[in-house]
Amino acid sequence: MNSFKIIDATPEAQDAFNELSDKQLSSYEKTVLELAKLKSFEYDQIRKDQAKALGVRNSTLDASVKAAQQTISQEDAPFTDIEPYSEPIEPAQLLDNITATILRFIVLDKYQAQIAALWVSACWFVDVIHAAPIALINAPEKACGKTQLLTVLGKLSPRSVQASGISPSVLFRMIEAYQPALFIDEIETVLKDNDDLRGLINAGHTRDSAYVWRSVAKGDDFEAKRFTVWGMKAIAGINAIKLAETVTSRSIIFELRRKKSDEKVQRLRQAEPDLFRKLAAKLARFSYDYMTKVNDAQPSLPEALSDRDQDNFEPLLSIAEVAGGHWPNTALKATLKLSNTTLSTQSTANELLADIQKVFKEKEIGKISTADLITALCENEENAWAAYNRGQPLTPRQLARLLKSYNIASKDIRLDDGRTGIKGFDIGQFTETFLRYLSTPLENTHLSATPLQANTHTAEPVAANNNVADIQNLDATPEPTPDKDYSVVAAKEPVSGVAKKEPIKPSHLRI
Amino acid sequence: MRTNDRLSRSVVEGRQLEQSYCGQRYFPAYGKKIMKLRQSGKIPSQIIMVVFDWEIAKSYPRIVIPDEVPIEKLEFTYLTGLPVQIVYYDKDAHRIDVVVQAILKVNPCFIATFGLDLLDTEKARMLIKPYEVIQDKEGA
Repeated sequence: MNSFKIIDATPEAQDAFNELSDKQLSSYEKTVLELAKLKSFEYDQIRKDQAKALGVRNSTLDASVKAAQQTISQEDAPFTDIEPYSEPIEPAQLLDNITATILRFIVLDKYQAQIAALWVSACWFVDVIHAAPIALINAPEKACGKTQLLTVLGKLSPRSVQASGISPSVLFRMIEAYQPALFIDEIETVLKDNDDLRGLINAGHTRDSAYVWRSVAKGDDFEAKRFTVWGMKAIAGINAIKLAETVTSRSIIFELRRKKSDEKVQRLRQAEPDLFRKLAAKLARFSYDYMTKVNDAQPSLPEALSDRDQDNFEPLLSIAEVAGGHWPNTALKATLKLSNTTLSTQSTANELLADIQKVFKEKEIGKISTADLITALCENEENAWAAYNRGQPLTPRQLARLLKSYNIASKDIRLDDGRTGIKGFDIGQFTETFLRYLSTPLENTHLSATPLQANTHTAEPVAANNNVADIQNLDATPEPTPDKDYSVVAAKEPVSGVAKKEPIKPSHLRI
Repeated sequence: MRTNDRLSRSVVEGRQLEQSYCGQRYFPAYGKKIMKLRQSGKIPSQIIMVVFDWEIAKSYPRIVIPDEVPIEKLEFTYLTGLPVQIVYYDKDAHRIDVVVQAILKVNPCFIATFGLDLLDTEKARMLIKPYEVIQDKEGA
């Protein structure tokens, strides 16, 4: 950063500056500046006389005073101006660095970290993008890193405001005055029974319609006044995706999971003092040098995306296109992967996990049919499952819906008694989930010899350093097997002509 | 075709600068920082460099004038009473006259130009406005 020694101005230099500053302002502008400093009621008392004296209409004077107030408020804004980085930056490398930084502190899939890097970059290009997708950070339980990710994104954004507990009236005035990037935690609490706030958050998504109208006191009367609510917002919460569909449809959803004991990430307080400031300065330089290019970019939008999703991802894909290198392709893949993730979470799902773990442990089995699992869950009348369905036992459909939160679905299994083609579960499907979400992971010798991967979104190992190249390549994620959904390794006899051990492939997600 | 392209483009130009509300004055990079100093009665201790290239004079107090920006829209008031040196490469030589005239209007105490491509020649440095006579004799 450009820093230099500062001294007191000489009297001659200061006088010259003051004289020129006054001279540059016309008498009209000087008057407007003085009026802008008045309180509302003080201004109301004299506005008509002042407008008449200046020879302008009341509305003209009102507009000038409002603009002056806005400039004054921006100059007094509680934000530190971030100076652009003095060296030219390589956008692709910068995005790689931001991705690696996110992965240093947050347990997150790499493709999600890449989209998060693009989202935070979009905050710097907010003046030229046309949709401001909400970053919705969701987790099924607490202690999954939601607040951490919100904090990291906030440290990298311009004019960021942590706005939890904020009222709508304060929010739209703040946005009107400062155009900040907003970060709201515990959104499920904040938005509860708060349609005004929800509407306000939604309205800020599309530039052309990012306004709200509110009544503002004017003397003894009220007048309708338009406030801009355009800007980037990030929200985080438990089961945040169960918010109104109007919010989630305007969002890019980041799914967080609780880290396993062997997943190591650094604590934010251990970050180097200048880490985020330098990255923010580089982002400022990125926006400074590439604003026009991002404005002119017209990336190819995947047909597979809905119109709304295309709106949400277009600014990110524009930035990726301008950044170049691997980013256009990477962003496209990450977009398709992220937009295909649809999860719903319920807090009772954790209770179900614990009970399923108990079933496997008590019965000392490695596989169980759906029917037998439900029977086992409902055996204990004190369990919630015995009366889960309006006084009736849990149904297979309800079980599937609850487990969908963890990307676990029933599949065709072969039971120990020889029955095949039965819908059920293998304990290997739950292993990783038990480790992540239960305090007492299963210790069981009845695991299948080669446990299946629970889902297609397996977290990749967190990098020990910042070098993104060291992180496992996203392309190496195995594709789902087309036909066989059970482990051929566990089969005693070759299946369908397979005479040797084959690599285990994850099952499809099915409802 | 996007709507509001014209609006976006003017926003792009303005975003590279910082807009004041009066008379559409814009600050080049780092200009607002110096303006805030002046408003608080402070100045940089060194000569202020006016450059067109991010790589030049990084260790000095400086303003960076972006490409293709109308000079007449730029704010230079904060240079009043201060020493200024414009440093440039040949590719920006065509903009020097306009910048000099704009800065002279705010009455700096000293202004000179320095062409980096003319280094080691007599034409590299050109004095536009000297310091006060007494200061010039002292070799300022």
